[in-house]
Amino acid sequence: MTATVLSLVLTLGIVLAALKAMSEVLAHRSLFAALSVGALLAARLAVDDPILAATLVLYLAVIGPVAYSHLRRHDAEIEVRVPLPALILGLVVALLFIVGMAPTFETAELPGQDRWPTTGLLVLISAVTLLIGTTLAVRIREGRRQ
Amino acid sequence: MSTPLLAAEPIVGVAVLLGAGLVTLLASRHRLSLLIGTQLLTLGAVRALAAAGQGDLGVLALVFGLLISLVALRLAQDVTSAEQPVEPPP
Repeated sequence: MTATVLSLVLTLGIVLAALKAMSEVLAHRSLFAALSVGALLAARLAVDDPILAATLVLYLAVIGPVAYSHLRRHDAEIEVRVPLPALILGLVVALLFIVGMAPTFETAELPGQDRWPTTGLLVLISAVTLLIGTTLAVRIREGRRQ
Repeated sequence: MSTPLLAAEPIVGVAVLLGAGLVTLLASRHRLSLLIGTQLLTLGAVRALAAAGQGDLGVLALVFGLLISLVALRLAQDVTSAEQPVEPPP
């Protein structure tokens, strides 16, 4: 019962934070709202899948500072507010799209299933390697321009 | 009462994340709009895959989301630079 209430509260928080992220005017507030969506989603995923939740936290730890430093370095102070009809239309279309594939959703995990320790580790190492490579390539390119 | 709510919880979460991401992504070509849109779409994909019990695919979705976010930042920067008028040389 407690897990059910916690799941519903976290999902409600995700919904509110997502709407706040797309409707904020200032760049850093919108980014922080999007990161809070990810944090709430990680908390929700931790109920069922702690490894995926930890991976999501690592993802947020990487993309958050990178995006913030990029937005701070360049101008991103004012953003056009998303119009309300577009918001409602997008949500309705997405809801119809998702309801069509709803029977495939099952929150239960198979008991005793092996949790792919090596595969997940390899994917994480590949992601970090790609991130470092991309960052180095961008820095080298900017250095050549200067 | 809690059973229908619990059954609809992943659906509502994924629908809102995908819808908000899609609208934000298509709202403008500003780099912030592209970044927030890709973030919300990525999180929606991860939530859907987690609800379907596909945790490893969720990790792959995060990796692709990271790459797409970096590409969106660079692409939007190039678009903004191309839209700025070039000052004539003195």
